[in-house]
Amino acid sequence: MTPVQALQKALAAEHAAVHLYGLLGAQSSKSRQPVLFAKLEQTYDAHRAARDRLTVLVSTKGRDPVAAKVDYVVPGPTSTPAQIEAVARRIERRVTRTYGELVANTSGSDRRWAISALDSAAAREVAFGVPLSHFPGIG
Amino acid sequence: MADFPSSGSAIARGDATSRRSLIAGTVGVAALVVSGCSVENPTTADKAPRSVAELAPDVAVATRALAEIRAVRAAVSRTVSRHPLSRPDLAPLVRMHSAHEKTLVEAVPERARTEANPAPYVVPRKRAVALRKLEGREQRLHDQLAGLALRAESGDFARLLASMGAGITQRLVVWPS
Repeated sequence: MTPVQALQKALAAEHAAVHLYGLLGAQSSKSRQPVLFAKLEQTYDAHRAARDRLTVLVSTKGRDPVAAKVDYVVPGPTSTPAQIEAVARRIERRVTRTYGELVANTSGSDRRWAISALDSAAAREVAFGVPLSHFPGIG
Repeated sequence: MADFPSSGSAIARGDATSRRSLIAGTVGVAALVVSGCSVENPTTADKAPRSVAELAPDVAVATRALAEIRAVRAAVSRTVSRHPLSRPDLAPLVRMHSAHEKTLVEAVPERARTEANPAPYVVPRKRAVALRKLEGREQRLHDQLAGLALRAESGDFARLLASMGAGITQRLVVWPS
């Protein structure tokens, strides 16, 4: 995988995450689940920021950033707060793995950013209840 | 509707990527260093280990990471010895450091290994202070691993080191108070 391909893959993942967290936020209640709602809102903002950064990184390499899809399959039911958190855990694990790949396929300032993004994703995993891992982003 | 980009075949390949395969390249580097040394100058094969700086770049990075992890593991052990009540809280941390150390030992040729010889780690008398100090030491290890991941020439090895750092980040998120 070339560095640009890895960046495009991470961007595609962030497009999906932004879309899905928008849906998860809409499925939760700010008044009835304030903690969950705040967590979803904060995570949505983090993924939007990552998406924007990746868009810039791809553009600066003279490539067209991959566009978001119109819609994404939600990886699980979202009827209850527990189900919403379970979906968030799945999203974060996938994003964390994607950033692991990005670290492997980049160098210099792009890798520096990827390492930081991997850290942030690993921390978000914990916030949504993913069990601690010895090696987040691998396997 | 589109599937999550990483949930398809690409992520399936990621699932199959074991730590062992990730470090395989580095082990290869280590093997090359050792065998290359013998081939190029067989008369020096039994002499004292060469300095880390002379070894292949990623072996040097791995050796440094191993030394740093061992130093922090020693700091954790001293903290547990001084404050036994912290043992349950710190046990997962010990397990993680051991897992990281075990992985790196596989990647570092024996002749390049350095024993942990850090500056003496002084454990504060008060437990809360001791835990805060250890938290800072873990953060420093995280930063060191991130820096080493940046230096690594092998992308897979960089991923491994960055992953170790991310593991520390997760422990810091749930750090005992």
